[in-house]
Amino acid sequence: MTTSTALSLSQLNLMRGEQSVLNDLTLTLAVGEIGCLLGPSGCGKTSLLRAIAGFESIHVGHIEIAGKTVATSTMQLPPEQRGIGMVFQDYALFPHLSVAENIAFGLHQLSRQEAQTRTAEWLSRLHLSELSQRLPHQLSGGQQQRVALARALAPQPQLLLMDEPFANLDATLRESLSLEVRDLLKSLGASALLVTHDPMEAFTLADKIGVMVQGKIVQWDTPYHVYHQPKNRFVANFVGLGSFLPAHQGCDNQIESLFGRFTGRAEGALCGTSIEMLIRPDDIRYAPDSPLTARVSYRAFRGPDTLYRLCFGEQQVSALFPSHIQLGIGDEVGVSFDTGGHVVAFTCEA
Amino acid sequence: MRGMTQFLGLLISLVLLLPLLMLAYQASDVSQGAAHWQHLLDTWLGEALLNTLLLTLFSALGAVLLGTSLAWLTVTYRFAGSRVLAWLLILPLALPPYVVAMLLMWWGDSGGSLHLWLREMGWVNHWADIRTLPVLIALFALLFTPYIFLLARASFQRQGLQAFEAARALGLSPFKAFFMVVLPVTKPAIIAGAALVMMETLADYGASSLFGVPTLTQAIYRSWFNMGDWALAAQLAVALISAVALVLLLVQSKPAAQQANTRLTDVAKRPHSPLMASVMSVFAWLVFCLAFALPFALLLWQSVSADTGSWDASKLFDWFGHSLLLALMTAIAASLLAAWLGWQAYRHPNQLGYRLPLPLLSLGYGIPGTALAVAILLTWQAFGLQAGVIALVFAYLVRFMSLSLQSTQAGLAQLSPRLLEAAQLHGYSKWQQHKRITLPLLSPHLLAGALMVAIEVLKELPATLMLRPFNFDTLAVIAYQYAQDERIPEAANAALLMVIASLFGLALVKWLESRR
Repeated sequence: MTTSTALSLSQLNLMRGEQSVLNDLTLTLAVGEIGCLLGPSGCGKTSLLRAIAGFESIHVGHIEIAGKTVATSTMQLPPEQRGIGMVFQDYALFPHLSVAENIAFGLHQLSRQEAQTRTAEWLSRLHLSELSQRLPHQLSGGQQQRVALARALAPQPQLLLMDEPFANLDATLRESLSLEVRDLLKSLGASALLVTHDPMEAFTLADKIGVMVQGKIVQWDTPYHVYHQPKNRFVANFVGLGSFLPAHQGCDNQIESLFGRFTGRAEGALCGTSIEMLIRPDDIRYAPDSPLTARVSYRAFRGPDTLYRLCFGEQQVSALFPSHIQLGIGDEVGVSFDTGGHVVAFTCEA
Repeated sequence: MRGMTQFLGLLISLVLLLPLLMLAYQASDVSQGAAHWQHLLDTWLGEALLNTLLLTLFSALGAVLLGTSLAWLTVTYRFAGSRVLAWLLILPLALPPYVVAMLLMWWGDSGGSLHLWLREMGWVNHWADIRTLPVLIALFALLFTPYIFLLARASFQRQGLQAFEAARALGLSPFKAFFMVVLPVTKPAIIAGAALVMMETLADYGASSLFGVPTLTQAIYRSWFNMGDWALAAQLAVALISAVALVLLLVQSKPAAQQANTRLTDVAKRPHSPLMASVMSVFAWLVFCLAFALPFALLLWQSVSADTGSWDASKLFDWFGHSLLLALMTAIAASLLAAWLGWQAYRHPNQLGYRLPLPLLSLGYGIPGTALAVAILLTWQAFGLQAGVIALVFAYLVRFMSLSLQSTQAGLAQLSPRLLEAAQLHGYSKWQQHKRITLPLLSPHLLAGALMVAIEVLKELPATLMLRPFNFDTLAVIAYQYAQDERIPEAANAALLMVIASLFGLALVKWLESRR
């Protein structure tokens, strides 16, 4: 393994009692990359993070951080020797220490002078200088989050782990802060792995997303691919709105559907069987002159765009149009179909 | 190693509870004490049992009515003094019942000013004695109101007013809304408070004995000291402990669904009419005056104005020194034990061996001082020892450990394991984690627990009376004994010093709590 790998997990297994929490889990994160584990609660993503940090012991497998083996089934390096920083879900700020003392907490190996300089640097980098003497309970949620981030990053860890870092913040703050965090990590060239159950958060922050179900990573891919080329129905449903349109698997890698004929194959589908094709709302374009028309059965204004449900005869598909296009329920509308050159289809559920 | 520490915690619990086993063993010898039983039954045991029952039930009832209504009023309404009363109504906790009983004795006997006044009003005749059961019930109800007040208030504050207001919006009167949606949620807190009041009432020895109202605790004291019948004392002690156990068993109910409203906002608002506000204010201040201000003022006045003649003030400092020494020794021992046991249970939440000592040792709180003293005397005798300071501290530990444990556990409950993980991640050793994180965060709780134990030790009467070494008097014992000899001015001096020390401790506890 070269040192350009920030984190490498191979065939990780973790049991809690009889129950398998992590199941044969493998992934690699390059240096400078931001990875994000996305999954419903109870899928094992927090356990994975804690196993990487060293707070849980793995039973089978291998964890490497920056080229150094930190855990195998027989060896567990203690957390403090793994070169990681961690932002906890509730931030775990020390309630009796000031902002500055919290940030300086991990700098005890440095001289007093150096620690002070480094703390001051981090205070100003995260716009906390004015608040340096406050106690954590005197800060807003967003400010607490920034202190937690500064405390984790100040000792210059090889890898930053973040457990649901934005879960305690309100929606608008969540979005602006996640962009801010991404910019910060990118400017530092830091490698990070975070955990969330919110697809939007994962899309905003991550270079790579790992969708987790029942202790397994079912897809480890870029946000675009996770959204538009999901590996299975679960991923398709979990990461965003979408409709499944009945289609037909032709024999020569052709899929026939309401919207025409496409090249592709549903995994495991036999030639000539019924399949279902994934349609994302943004795959449908507003095209008044198109011969293909649908009837509006539902609309929900959402600000920048409006979500419609369109009926093609019996079939219903969700679509997003810019909100200036104003359609009423019952209106006939011309549409075109654009998937960016690929389609995703699945065999029909039994 | 792990097994050893687990074993040690259980061993400590066992040692502390050993006297109770001795007590049970001694009491099981039914061939002993039978003659005296018959004698007691023929004379006043029946009355004592009835008194104990009536005292327990009606004191609890009175305290529940007062405590619940005051808690509701101070949480939901703003009236003259509503905020400061939330603090003031805790102060009766610093007044031991026997001190107030002593004041009533002096003030209300045929030469006292209360008696004179009552006579002038034509309500009583010259021979009337106010030292009666109903007055004692009123005394306990007033002094123990804080137990209900504190628990009910906390429950009301946690609930907020949403449910109450929803019920009002659905057309219920305030009264009906309170009974239908607020009270059911608060019931467990009130019942827990009532259990505390019953336990305190069952444990009282001083007030009832000063009033000459026979109770079970006095039967225990007399059978040990006056009749010298250990078996009888042990059997009566077991009966008393069984009564406490019965109370605890009756209140064991499933906790009702508490609305988890962690955001405590001030919801108090002005009552609809100024008249209502005045009525509320007068009621609340009246309770405060009767339960604390009046007795305290009387004690103060008595202490500064009375001529104590040739009385030697330096002895007062000896007694104070003894009280303080006992309080300090117990508080330190209880805190160290609670910190260690609490930490073990916190680190090993899934191992019964570590968790078990906490509920075991909390049981001691229910053992009345007289019963505990008999148990310890029996144990010490079995080992051929003389009861001394060690026996006293041992008794206090058994009885008041649970205060330390509760406080420590409350502190640990707020200590997120994530904090220690964060410290570990930054390379801090176990010892450094304790020094930088655990201790600073836990110490206010440990200190508050230690103070609460110290206050209780300061006020404790029956066990101290029965176990103290010869010539080793404390403020509580002296106050009681002088009161018994009707040397009220001397008794007032000792009692005042004790009450002021308790108030000081109580203020410190509240200050620590407010800083959290």
